[in-house]
Formats: sequence, C-alpha cells, structure tokens
Amino acid sequence: MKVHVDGIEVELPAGTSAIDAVFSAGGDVPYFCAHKYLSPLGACRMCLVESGSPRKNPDGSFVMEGEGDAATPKIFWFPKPMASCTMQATEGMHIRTAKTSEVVAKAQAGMMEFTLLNHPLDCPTCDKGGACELQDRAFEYGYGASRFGFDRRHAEKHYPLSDFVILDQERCIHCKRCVRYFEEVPGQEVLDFIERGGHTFIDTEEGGLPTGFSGNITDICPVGALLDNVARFRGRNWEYDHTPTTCTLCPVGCSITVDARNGRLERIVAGENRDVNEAWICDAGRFGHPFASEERLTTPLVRNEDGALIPATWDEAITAINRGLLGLPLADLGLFVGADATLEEGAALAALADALNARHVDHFPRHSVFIAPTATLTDVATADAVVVLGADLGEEAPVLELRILEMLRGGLLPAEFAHGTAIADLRLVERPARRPERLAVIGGESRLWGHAGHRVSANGENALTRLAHPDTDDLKAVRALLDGAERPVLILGADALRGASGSAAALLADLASRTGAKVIAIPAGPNSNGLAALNLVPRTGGLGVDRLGEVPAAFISRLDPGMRAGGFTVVHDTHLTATAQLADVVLPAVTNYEKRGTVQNLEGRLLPLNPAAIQSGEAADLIRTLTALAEALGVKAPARGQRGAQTLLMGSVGVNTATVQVGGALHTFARTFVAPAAPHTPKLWTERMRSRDRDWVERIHDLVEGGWTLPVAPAAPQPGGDD
Amino acid sequence: MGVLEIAKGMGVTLGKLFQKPVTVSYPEQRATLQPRFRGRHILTRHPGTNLEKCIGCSLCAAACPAYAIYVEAAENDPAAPVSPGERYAKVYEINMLRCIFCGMCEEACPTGAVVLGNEFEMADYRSRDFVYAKEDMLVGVTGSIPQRREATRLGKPVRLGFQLDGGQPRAELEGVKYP
Repeated sequence: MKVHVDGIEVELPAGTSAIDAVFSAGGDVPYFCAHKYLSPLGACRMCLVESGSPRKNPDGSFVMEGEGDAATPKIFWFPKPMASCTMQATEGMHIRTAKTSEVVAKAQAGMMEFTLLNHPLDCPTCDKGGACELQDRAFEYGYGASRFGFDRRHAEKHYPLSDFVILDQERCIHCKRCVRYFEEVPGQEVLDFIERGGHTFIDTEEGGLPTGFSGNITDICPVGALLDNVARFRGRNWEYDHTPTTCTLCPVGCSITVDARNGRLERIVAGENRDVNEAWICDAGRFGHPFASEERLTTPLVRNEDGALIPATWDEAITAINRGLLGLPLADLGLFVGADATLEEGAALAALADALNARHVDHFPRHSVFIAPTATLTDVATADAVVVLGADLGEEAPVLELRILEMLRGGLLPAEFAHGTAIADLRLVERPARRPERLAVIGGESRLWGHAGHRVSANGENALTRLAHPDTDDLKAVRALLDGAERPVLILGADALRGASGSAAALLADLASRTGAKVIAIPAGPNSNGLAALNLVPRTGGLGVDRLGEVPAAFISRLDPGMRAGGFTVVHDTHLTATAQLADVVLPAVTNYEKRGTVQNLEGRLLPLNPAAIQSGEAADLIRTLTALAEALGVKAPARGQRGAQTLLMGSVGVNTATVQVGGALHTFARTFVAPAAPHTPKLWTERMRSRDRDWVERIHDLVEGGWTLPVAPAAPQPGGDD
Repeated sequence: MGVLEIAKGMGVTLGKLFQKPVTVSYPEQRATLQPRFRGRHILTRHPGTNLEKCIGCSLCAAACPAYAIYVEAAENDPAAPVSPGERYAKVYEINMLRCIFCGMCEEACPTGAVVLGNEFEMADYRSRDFVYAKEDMLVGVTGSIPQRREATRLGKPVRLGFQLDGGQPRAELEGVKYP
C-alpha cells in the first residue's frame, strides 16, 4: 500500500492508521489521546491532517486528471481536516500535515487554543512540568498566546484518588487515556467522565482506585492531572538522573526508569519493552521504592565487647571477620544469598564456594524443582487458552496477569514500525469483547479469578495431578479447553510448585506434550531462573538456608531469615534487618537499583540492570563484598569486579552478559541445579517498601482523611456557568 | 614634544588638585551604588498575606548558568501555608561563590520571588558560609552572613557599606528597606 505524506511516498501494510503513516514518513503530528497500547479514540482532535484519496469510476478505472500520458489519478480531498489517529490510510492516499498545509497548521493551533482554554497553566507547581506533552505540543504547534479573557474553569485540585495517585481536575484535558487504560488493560471500570461539555471531569464512582496497576495512569496522562503521589514535589523532571534498568521485585523483569535526585531515589516510571511489560508496570514496582533511600546502612557495623553494633571501616570489618572465623575450617562457612542477586554476583559466589570447598551454599527463595520456561510472555498474550495452576499472580508476577488479560481481549499486539510501536493501532477497540472462556484458574481465589471462565477451587499442590487426571466436570472442561486449543499456555504458581518434585516435572512434561501446551513456571525469586544455572544449592553434606541455625558460621547476603548461624555470622544487607541485628559483622549492601548486572526473568530472558545515582555511602555489591570476605579468609578472590565476574560467568555457564541489550535476549542454560527447598509464600509488598518517612505518611493521611482547603484562589462564580 | 605639551598636561593635573575627589573612603564612608547595580538575592513576600512568593518551582535553578541554586520543594500545610498554592520551597539555597549575578534567576522566576538586591559585602572565611539559605535571603533580613555575625558579636545593628542613588530600592524589591 503506497501512501503519500507531504509528497513523500511510503510503502505501508494495509490497515495502518494515517498517524502512523505520517510518522513512518518521518513527519510529525501532535496528539494527546492516542497511546501505543490503547485503542485510538479521536478525543483530543490535535492530530488533524488534510487527506484525500483517488476515486474509481464504475468501470473500475481511476478518475484521472490531466491529459494523455501526464494524467494521474485525481485526489478527492476531504473538505475539512481529519483526525489522523482514527483514520485508516488507504492505497494511494495523500496526507498533508502542518508542514505543508496552512489549513492544518491553523486548525491545530486553534485546537491547541481550545485545549488550553480551561487549563490552569500552573506549570511551575506542576510535577509534570518539563515532561508534559501539553507543554511541548503547545510550544511546537500553539499560537503562543491566549485570546481567552474570561475566568477559567475551577475544579478540584490535588484530590487524592488513592494513596498513590493524586488528581487535579483543572489540568485534565479530557483525553480519556486513563479511562481507556482501566477498561482495556487491567479490565477494571473505575474511572469515567462525569458531566458534559466544559464541565466534564474525571472521577471514580465510589472513591479509591483498585491497587495493582493504578500507577500506570500517571505515566500515560499527557498533562499533570494524574500524578505520582509518592514522588510529589520531590524534583522537577529535568533535575532527575534517569536510569533505564530492570525491576527486580518479581520474576517478570519489567523495564523501568529510575529517577534519582541528589542521591535519593525519588520516582520510578515504566519503560517500554514490547516483549515483557509493553508499557505497564505494577504498583509495587512503581511505588514500593522509598526503602532505597531510607534508613540505609552506609558503613560496616562490627559488634564490640559490650555486644553493641558500632560503625566501622571496611578494614576493621575485614579484621573482625578474620578474627571471628579464626580456626574454622573454610568448608564449614555457609554462603547464602537472596534470589534477587544478579547472575554475575551468583557466579562470584559460586566460584568462592568452589575455592573454599564450601558445602553450605544456598539461595532463597527457590523451588525444589526447576521447570524450564517454554512459553514467552508474548506467547501468553497471543495464546488461545491459558490455564493458571495454583498461582496468585498479584503477589507472584503481576504483569503476567496483564498479559493474560491481553490474551482475553484478543491478544492483539500493536504493530511495530521503524518509528516504534504503532501510535494508533486501529484493531484495538474500546470496550473490547473479552473471551473469559479461554482462561481457566485452578487453585485459590485471586484477582484473576473474576476474569476466568473456568474456575476450579483446588489445593494448589495437587492441582497439576488433578489436571493430568481430571476427576470432576470442572476439571474435565479445563482439560477439554487445553486439548482443543491451538496455542495453549500453562502457568504454574508457587502453590503448584511448592513441595513439587521430579515426578511433578515429568507429569507436567507429559501433559505439555499431550496438549501441545507451552509452560511458564513462575520462579520463586526474581532471578531464580538465572541462579539455578549456577551451583548455588547445598552441596554434598551441606545445609540449606532453612537450617541456618545448624551451620557453624555463615555469610548471609540480602536475606532476612530472622535468625543467626550457629557461630560467627556476617550479614550483607541494605538495611539493619532482624537478621543483621543478630549478626557479628554487618556489611552494607546496595539495592538492585544501584547494581550493574544481569538477571533472567520467568520466560528465560536475560535483562540488564544499570546503576542509578543513589547515595549509599560505603555500600558494596556482592562481588566486591566477596572480595573483602576472601581477604578476611586469606584466599584469592575469584572476581574483583564486574568484569571479572562476567568472565567467571562466561567460563561457568557460557553466556556473555556484557553484550546483553536493553530489551534483553532469551537464553536457556544447559544445566540447572536443584535441591530440596523449604516452602515459601511469595509476597510482593514487604513492610519496608512502604515509606517510613513520618512526614510523608502524615501528608498522605492528611490528603486522604483530612479536608483540603487552601486559603488562596477561592472558586469564583463562572460567567455563563449553568450552576 | 615641546614644553607647551608638558605644561598642558601639568595643567590638567593641577586643575584636578582643586576638584572634589570622586573616591569615597569606603568602608568608613558609604559607597553610592548605581541604579543598575545587582547584588545578593532577596526572597520577597506577598504584601498583606506575608506569604512567601517562592513556590519552589526550581526554574531559577534550571536557568542558572553557574548551577548556584538548589531548591527542594514540599507541600504546604493548609493550616499554616508558607506560600500560596500547593507547593513551597522547603530548601532554597544559593551558593554565592558560584553565583555570577547575571540575573537569569530573576528573569526565570514566574512569581517575582527571587530578585537581585543591592548588598555586596559577603566576604567571609569559609566556603560553606557562602551558601545562603532562605533565612539569609528572605526580605527583612539585612546584611550578609558575616555582617550579621559581626553585628551579633558587637551587639550593634548591621551597618551596610552602601547607599542607593535616589534612596529607594527598585520596585521589584518589594518590601526591601536598606537602612
């Protein structure tokens, strides 16, 4: 299909919207309401273009203009500018943007004037300032001055929709992105337009937003109407240091941008990764970051003669470890690590364990069985049947839930062009038909339960066995769904994998091969899939982290079992946790927001971590901490830094993590290590992810509970208002 | 060159001997500042409500070519607001060692809160004493940090070493009075 944009001819697939035709020709059109992953609506009327198409005679030939050989098909122009986001480009269509058409430029400037009529223009106090689509487009396409001499509309300002999202109804330009987001993506009808015309405002019916994915509306709001309340007034957009990295709160591995200012982590916004999280992240990933800048350990702590932990230098800590472990056989030292450590850190730990001949090596949490993922998240979204076994996705892998809901509304992924994801994919529609019969949930009740066509209450642990040998009508229906589907996906959660053994893996493999289903087993920890490839499980005669009390002495990194080892205990953590308070030496650690490294998500995708500029004193990542530990033990450190750990990883599992790109790459490790594991219940929000900053907590309380009236700008009566 | 030229030159010199000198014996005498002189910043207040004009928007910091300004904003307590609106500057600091007194902050300020005043006597001993916070710049504070320190030590009011040409500060310096 050939389309002419401002005289440039572009070749495009059929069904492309006119706005994407313009962008793929290198042009630009302003828009507010269109969004890559939402249905095009045509609400803001900013993306106006002039367009016209050739027309055919009744005999099928084109209506021509010109004489003889110079004749070309006549273009019949629409009499008025058209919204390009809701118009489909057709064969031979001609499009003129503001670049070549005075009419379009005037229409867009006029539309901008209308949009700005009631906008309060309080950009200096607005947190969106500097990253505001309205500011940018007004600068590029507006008149530059307002001719509106009347009072602007006054409405509710700083109105907290929930603890995390704050609404300013004056700033809203009625693009309807947030309304469509809730209807189309998490499938919740919470926000809507109320009243008509100039009095339209956004609100919820009964107050409050459902937790889970509500924060995404602060990203997609083109103005400062919906804002992140955790980052409220913490900094302006140009002041933040933006670091694109990967979220490691759960095994999905969403792409995020960490915004730090002055060494404090102030805000997290979603990044785009078409293969993983599209453009959405969960509320825990977005708002659960205050711990990274609160009550951090910044220096090592050493227990003195009086039994108190006192700040010390790293050298003193190394001396204390050396003295404490004197006389202990090196092989008796336990080495335990949290499952959100990076692959490089895991490789360094495994190499040190090899060098020490240590037996008590473990990472936590993990399952006692490793099931290699065969489905990707895109497979989940485009499947025709999904069966979820014993999973509470809200706690285990929230964004996986969004991808399942995407499957329910047809699994349409927006097309991709040279200019990125399609801005307006006309196949996406408002209030899409959902196909709940394609989703079966077996296990306990969860948020996904309400969306599922087949719900089977079952004890998660025997759900797999029961699905393999269905004993009730409900289960037989689920089995029939699996058997009848062409692209089924099985998702196993913590309940199904808890206490599972090799026989369960065999049963699953058998079920998958019979039904042709692809499988995702949600790992217990954020990087459990990657760490399973390294020998980080108890070795012959070794004890796991669940039997920490019996280990003679231990080094525990970023784990909080709440107890100490039998003897000398070294804890490496970001905060003074319960375990750290019991330790003999505490070493300060960095959070995953401050690390460089690689993690592997639940579909086996290697994803990069980049360090954000967060102040953490003398804190060190596990690789450098192991160097200090090796020095205290008098052995040679296997890796002294990131580069050395990458070499170790290359040697042990044959993957070069230095070349992992931003979007990540699927990788399957040849060998995995498993061992029996203690049961573990995943929990997304931990206590410390809530802010402990008293001011902040009180402010939120005031906003939510207290009356909010400011002593300035009383709402003046509006001329011409009908109230 | 003849004797005549030398005599002419000496004539000019001799003539000046009997004119009133333009130099003042600063600091005993006060220097008279030109109207365009720009010195240390003043943070002004709204007359009447006495609320700070500064809303903590950080645009001055963005405009500052010397990166001398640091602003941290916070939400106003509605019962006792610091500034009109939702937002105020919790921390407002200018590093006077970095400042080049170009006036870009004044130009960028949407509320006319930060205005370059006329005080210039800020010489001090330690670098950290050159970081002026809100309490050093709010309207009503007379004198620089070292001048106020000295005044406290001596138990005397701050003595400024300048006077204004015309006597009154510029109109932008709302509420500013120089003794």
